[in-house]
Amino acid sequence: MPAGSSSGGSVSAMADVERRALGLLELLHQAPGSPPDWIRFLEALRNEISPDAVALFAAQPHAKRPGVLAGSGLGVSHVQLGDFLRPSQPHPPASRIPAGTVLSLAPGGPFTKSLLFRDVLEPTGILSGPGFLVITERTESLVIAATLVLPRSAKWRPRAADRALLERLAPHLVIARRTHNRLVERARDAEALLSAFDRLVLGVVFVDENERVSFANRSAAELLGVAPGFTDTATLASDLPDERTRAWRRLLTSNADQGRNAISLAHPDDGRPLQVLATRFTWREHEGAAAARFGRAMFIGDAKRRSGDPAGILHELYGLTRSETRLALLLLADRSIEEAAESLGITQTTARGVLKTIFAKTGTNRQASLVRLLLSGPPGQVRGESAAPGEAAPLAASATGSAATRR
Amino acid sequence: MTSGARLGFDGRSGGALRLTGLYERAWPLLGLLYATPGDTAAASRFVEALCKTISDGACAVGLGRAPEERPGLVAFRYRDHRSADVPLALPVAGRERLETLGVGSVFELRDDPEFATAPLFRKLLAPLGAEAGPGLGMVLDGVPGRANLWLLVLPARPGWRPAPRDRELLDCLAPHIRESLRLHARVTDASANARALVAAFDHVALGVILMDASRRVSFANRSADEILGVSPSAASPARRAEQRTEALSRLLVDQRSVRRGSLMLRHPEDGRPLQLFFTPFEWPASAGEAGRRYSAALFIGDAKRFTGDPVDVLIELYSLTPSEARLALLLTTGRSVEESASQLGIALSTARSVLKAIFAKTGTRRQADLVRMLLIGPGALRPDPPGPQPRGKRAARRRRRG
Repeated sequence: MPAGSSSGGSVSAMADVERRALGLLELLHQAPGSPPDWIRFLEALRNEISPDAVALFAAQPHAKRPGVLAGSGLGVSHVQLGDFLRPSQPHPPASRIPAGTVLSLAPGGPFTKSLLFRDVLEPTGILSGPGFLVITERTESLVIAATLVLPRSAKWRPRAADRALLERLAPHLVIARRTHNRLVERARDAEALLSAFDRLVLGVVFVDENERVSFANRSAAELLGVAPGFTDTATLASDLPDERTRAWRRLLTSNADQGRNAISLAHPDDGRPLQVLATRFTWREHEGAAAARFGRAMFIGDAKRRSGDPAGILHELYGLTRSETRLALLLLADRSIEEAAESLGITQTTARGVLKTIFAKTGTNRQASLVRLLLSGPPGQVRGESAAPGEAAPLAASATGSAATRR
Repeated sequence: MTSGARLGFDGRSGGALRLTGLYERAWPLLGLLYATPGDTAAASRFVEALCKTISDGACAVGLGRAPEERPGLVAFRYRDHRSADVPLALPVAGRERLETLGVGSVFELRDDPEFATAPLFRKLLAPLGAEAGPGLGMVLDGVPGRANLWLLVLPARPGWRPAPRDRELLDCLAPHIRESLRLHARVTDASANARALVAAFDHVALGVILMDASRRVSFANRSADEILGVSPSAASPARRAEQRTEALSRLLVDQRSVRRGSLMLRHPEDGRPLQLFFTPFEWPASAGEAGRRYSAALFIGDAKRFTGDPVDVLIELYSLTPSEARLALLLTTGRSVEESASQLGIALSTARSVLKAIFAKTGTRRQADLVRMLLIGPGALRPDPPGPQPRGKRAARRRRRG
């Protein structure tokens, strides 16, 4: 959507290029990590050059990261072609074409033979040149990502001013890509930790400076009847408390004494006893924003919650049979031996016999020491079902603005 | 076919010749501005370069509201910070009110002789080497109606005055400063999530290790460090990661094949039993690099390791008396009532009646019940606070007071 207005006859060509570069810069730096913004930049770049050109960003699959292709008029897609930028020979080393270099592409040049062109671009009618390729990310030996301007029809031929525009933007293309990678990496750190947190039987809730819930792990979320994950900053800042915060406050209303670091309270639905232990986050002075979002961590112990036994861990650790494991787990989940026998449909005598075998296999001699052994390690504290990292959509959406590596 | 206005370029600057000079001055600054959002050293390099670009004889000073709702203001230049409880009274030219200017607004500071005697200038700006004015300012951060961070360009020696081209430069930088602050916020937001989770993990008694595909440790919480024998304070983060990896490979020396599931191990030093549970992460294909850095989680339980002294927690949770809490703790470490009584030096009958009181207060009926109750909450957490964090601790104390 070119505006169509020329900047006036007296304007020298160079000044026009600089003005266009400055205008594009803001859009470019809004782009890292967010495909819609990214496309907006590529479309604006195309508009600055010619409606008969196409502006593309291509990152090839690298270190298990899938390839990405984004382009004006093409949208964003994941591409799983192997080394799609490589034109049948090794890439020139970084000492020869460092990141930020602008290369001219001639029609029929090596780029024509690349998988990217042959399998992805050519079928859509895009021509292989003449055009430009800006090295946007690279390692010593490998070009990983490039920004390209190619003809959509033979009507467009690159001008010196187009090259000058790309040369000015090139360092910023590199910077924006680096920022994007950093954002993704930070978000992935959090996702990995998050999925480990979701394996804990212990409920974990973070509250912000206004005692609103900024995070709940899976166990806590189940206890509160809400979805697990981080609450984004916009929701925390709104006037109305969100669903997690309302559920959390409902849990605490029954307890008047909220200033303490350890409280025992009854669940509002069924009155089962819960233990809540609070601890304060310590942030450094300049981390005001983090301190506002993460004020305290609350750990919630729910004695009635069924324990973990992930992946038959009791069998693997102690050689417990299936029926021994069932009894042990019932004992861990607050049942007496009589109750356990009843819910398993066995006699008390049988249950006592099974318990003796469990004692022998685990090297314990009393119910109390069995409970201690099993609860102090993974059998009691790690949940059975796993949650894959990356399932935590709320985090990814808030932290990376949904990276290009996502759909 | 330029569509400057559409792209956010402000048509006010007009003529191309003026713009050319502006470009030459602004472009290197923009490179610095966007290079490393979130890095304070890079930010101060930007401010320094801005000063040099504007002209000799000017200096740039940051001015902000003090954090955490304390009254007062903070001024800074390089690494020099000053704070004082003084009113925000700057001689802003025209009818503009400083408090309500939007982020990115550029304003002019009058040459006001009275400002030289104002507390804000005397206590904060003069000690950083600034003269009272005239100058320029820009709003760097805040919410609509309440700005909280400003950039001030003031004379560094008497006689300097801002030129029209200086204002033009700030006007040109303003939208980019807004954008880079947004980027900065996104980067710090993303790392705050991870750091909050790390901090919470340090309270968990269970050892938690995340490792990459070659079993190099990419994360270990405090309990895991203690089980591995890695000192949290001694080494650099890189060295610590190496130590963790070495310690883990000693621990798993005979367990090369385990990728999933659990096993019992003896600690290589004292032979105490450890329960290990491996679980691989299932990343979506798009996770890429993360899928390699975090390929599996390992949870380690150490039943013999006493994680600290949760007596206070028990007293707080269930209003146990200190002697009741001591008995309860002995019972949770696996001792019988008889053993506990003799260890505490009390009669068995006394111990039994204390135990009855504990049952009543905790709502439990049997010893196994009690153990489960205590282990599920307090026992899963470490009662000792994480290691020394002098700066952070001070901030925390202040927050508590405030």
